[in-house]
Amino acid sequence: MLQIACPHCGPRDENEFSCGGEAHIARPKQPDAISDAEWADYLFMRTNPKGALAERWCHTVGCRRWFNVERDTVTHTILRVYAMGAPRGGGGGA
Amino acid sequence: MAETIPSQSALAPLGLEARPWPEDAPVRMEEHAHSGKLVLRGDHRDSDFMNAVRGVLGMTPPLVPLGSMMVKGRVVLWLGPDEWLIACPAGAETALYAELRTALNGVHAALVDLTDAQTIIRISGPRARDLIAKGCTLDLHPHTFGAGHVARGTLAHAQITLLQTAGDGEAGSPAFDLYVGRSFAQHLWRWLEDAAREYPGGTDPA
Repeated sequence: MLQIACPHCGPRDENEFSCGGEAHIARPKQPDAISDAEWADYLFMRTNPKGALAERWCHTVGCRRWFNVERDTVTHTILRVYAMGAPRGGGGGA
Repeated sequence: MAETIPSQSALAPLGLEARPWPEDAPVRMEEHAHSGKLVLRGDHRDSDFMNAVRGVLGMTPPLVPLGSMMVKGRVVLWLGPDEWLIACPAGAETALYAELRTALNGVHAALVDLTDAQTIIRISGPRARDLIAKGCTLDLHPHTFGAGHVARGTLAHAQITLLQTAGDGEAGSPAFDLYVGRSFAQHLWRWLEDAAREYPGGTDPA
């Protein structure tokens, strides 16, 4: 069980949250102008690093707000919690 | 032809009035049915929104996370950075809704009447905190969770909003208002009743 520090509610157990997958994946601005391969890359391909990964999380049963979490996929250590829309900043990973 | 159907509280089918809790029970529970509940959403950085809300409520809604405020018999609970629950006496919600709706005319905001969607289970007594902690992952230690504190979380798998209405020092024992969706209310009541059996004096759900 992870304990995640919600930016609003403070530390809560993982089962109060929903994970929204990898963060910082920008939707192509003109989907009809790109190839199927590029669209598939946006839809399906993820970095899947062994190490630091930026993810989107939502505090579903609490304040219901989305935010970003940087988590180590090996140790499950939460490296950083930061606001939606904020750049990833430091940290390793892919 | 429209018929008028009297509203029935979520726990009415359990016939709770027939089995009151002993006065000296370490935990007592009661349903506080039909009290008005409105959910208000808007951006606190929008001065039009805040002025409209202040004009009606006579207060600024709590901006500090997990806080609540009581003014004029109403309680405003922080649910999120742009979301509040306004609890008011039973029957007062229609007028309050209309008043807020008028004040928020043209302002980017959302207002929903949840009066009949949720009910309140009031839990009090010296072991109230222990009872809730049995099925809840929230940190309920008095140093962290005190009078006026609000948190949404889960209790026995049901989504709840928990408000502590009386501190541990006042009148000797804490009291909590537990807001729960009406379709979960019977499950939650039965679970709480069962969990309270270890505290002598509690009613036997059998």
